[in-house]
Amino acid sequence: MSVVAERKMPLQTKMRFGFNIALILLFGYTAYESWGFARLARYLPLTVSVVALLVMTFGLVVDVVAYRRRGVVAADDVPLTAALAGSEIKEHKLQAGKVDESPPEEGEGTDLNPVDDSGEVIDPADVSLDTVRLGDIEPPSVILKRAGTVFAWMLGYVVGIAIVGIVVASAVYLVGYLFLQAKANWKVPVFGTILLVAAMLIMAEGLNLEWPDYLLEDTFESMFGPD
Amino acid sequence: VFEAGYEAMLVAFSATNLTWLVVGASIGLVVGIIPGLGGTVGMAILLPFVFGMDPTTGVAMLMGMAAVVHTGDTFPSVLIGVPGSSGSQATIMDGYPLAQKGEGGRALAAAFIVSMLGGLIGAVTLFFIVGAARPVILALGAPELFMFAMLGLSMVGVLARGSAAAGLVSGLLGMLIGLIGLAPQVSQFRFVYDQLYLYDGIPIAVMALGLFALPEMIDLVAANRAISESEKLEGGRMTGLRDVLSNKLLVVRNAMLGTAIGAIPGVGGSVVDWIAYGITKQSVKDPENFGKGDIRGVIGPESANNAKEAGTMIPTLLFGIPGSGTSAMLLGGLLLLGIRPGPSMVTTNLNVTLAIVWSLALANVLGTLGCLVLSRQVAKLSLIPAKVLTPFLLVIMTLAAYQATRNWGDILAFLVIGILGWVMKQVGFPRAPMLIGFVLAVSAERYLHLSMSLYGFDWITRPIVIVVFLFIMLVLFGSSIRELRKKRGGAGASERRTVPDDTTADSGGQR
Repeated sequence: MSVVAERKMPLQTKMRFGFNIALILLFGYTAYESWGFARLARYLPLTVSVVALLVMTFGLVVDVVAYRRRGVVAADDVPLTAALAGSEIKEHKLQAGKVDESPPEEGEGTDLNPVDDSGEVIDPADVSLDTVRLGDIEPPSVILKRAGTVFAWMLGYVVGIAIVGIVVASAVYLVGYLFLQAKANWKVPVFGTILLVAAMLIMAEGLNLEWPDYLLEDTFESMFGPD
Repeated sequence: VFEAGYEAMLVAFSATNLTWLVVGASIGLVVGIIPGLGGTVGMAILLPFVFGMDPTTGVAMLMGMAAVVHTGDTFPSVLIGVPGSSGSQATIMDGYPLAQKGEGGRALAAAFIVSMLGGLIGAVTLFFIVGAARPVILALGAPELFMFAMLGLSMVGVLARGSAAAGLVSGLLGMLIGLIGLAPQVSQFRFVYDQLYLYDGIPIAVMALGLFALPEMIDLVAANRAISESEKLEGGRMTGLRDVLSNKLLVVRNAMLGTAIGAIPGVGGSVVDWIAYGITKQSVKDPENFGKGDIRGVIGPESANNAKEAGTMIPTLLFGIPGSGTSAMLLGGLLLLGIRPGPSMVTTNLNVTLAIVWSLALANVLGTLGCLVLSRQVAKLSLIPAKVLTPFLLVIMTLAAYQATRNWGDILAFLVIGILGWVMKQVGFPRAPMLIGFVLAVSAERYLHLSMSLYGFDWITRPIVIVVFLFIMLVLFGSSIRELRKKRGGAGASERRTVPDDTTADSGGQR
């Protein structure tokens, strides 16, 4: 019986398939590219690409079969702290316990699992999933938005480094993020930023660190003198 | 070896080394306490600063960091029920209930003390194994080392969390990324696309920060878990000490177990605590209270997870096979310091090996003392909300990434690899094999080239090579044959893996 028809494919599953296919294309490309290398430079990349291509194709087939049969791809596989995956799994009730009707075979793979008195295998992932991961996590849309926001700020920070330099950009990023995004008490951004920037300047002096070049470097230096 | 051990002790206790060891250990504690960050990220932050240090000093700092991650990671596990790193997940099972019963102080004290004991036992074991393994190691040549690298990669790929195919592909992808740059035998640049930055290859610190640190930061904020309001540190420390004393045997046994499991590439890190927990529970007479706040449920995994760090050093130093993310980073660090792991670690570089042993032992003692004395202050760190903490960490990580080669490319690569790491994390592709493949790529290619030029194709017929090859086949296909059989046995039985997390990939962890 196919479970697939009953529900929409979760975003996390789409990502998994997408990632598989992207890798297959990548390995195909690297294999082609390696072919053009000098003989001695070719062996390892070519072998690695071809083997990876085969293994990934096999992995994709396994995933498709698993999805058609159980509606689950990579639910057990994701780390406990994977926010989006955890939320997807909760939203779509993808936890393997749901679909897994047959108990693990005796003596198979049980060696690594804690066993309780009745001899039943306790899957540590189950216990910790209940208590740690899925307890209070919001729906995927919220998670995705938050992840996107963090990343957008990070991008902004990097653009800032390119324009005004890492010291100024760090200060602006910290104050901005803590005030606007984290809505922290005013003391945190003010003192935290002062501390971190001070530490940066001291370290730069003491350990001879260098900072990335930036666009306004010349302007700043003409205003405040070279550092 | 004993004489050398004594000399190494004098070096390890020198003022410079001690200072850097303390610096490393402090960072290790903080990294351990912050949920989601583990030894791999700690190494990545420290690595850029190691360049140019004296080898024993650099090693002291790196090992000081790695040794105490699993001491510090107990705080969040016990206090808020969130693992501080992948090695402390099993501690939650009984540590968190204990804290809720008002015995958090007792659980922490017991955990710190056994962490120290476990770490010390691990260091002593490592010392003896280095001595005993000398003759064996010296018999290995390039062909054997190449095969060992392949074995390490297959084991890590297959045994890491996630499907075996995903693990292997992850390792192979890491190798391809590791091959970016100048080919060692002929002057040809591979996969560089005229980008000057890529000519030297991607630095290991940038790779590790992108793969492990950035994704954790994003997810910490995205998940935004509720954090309890105040730290509960009630419960006597002396009770904790007494608990340890009455479970001496358990501590020693689990420490040995931790060292042994740590030595198996790919298993290390995140399973060790669960295995130790399971075995502890099975071996006691009255397991009813496990999961509800039995102190032995804390002592069991905690004595194993520090010992594991010593165990992972065995394949890393002697064969050049890192079994976990943290040891892959250490390997990278050694290369930066100009030391090639492998047989030289028991001959010319024996002092570095012994410095590692001493640093492990010292850092474990220091870490535990620090945690016991400062527990009240340090515990507060684990209560800072993620959204306040992460921007600071992101700035520090960006700075650390840039120090790798001091090139704009470092920051961009950090971002790009970060996205890749985040996607991999969400779709269940383990990241530790990727880092290990990345580190192994260059040495594997060198060993392969050496083997071919020394022996032609004859190297394939060397006895150890054949044995290792058969073992690789067993690792690769043994599990899939079992899976097939399982599938036939119970239709739809999902493959349940015990490895719970690769976030820190430490050493495991996926190290």
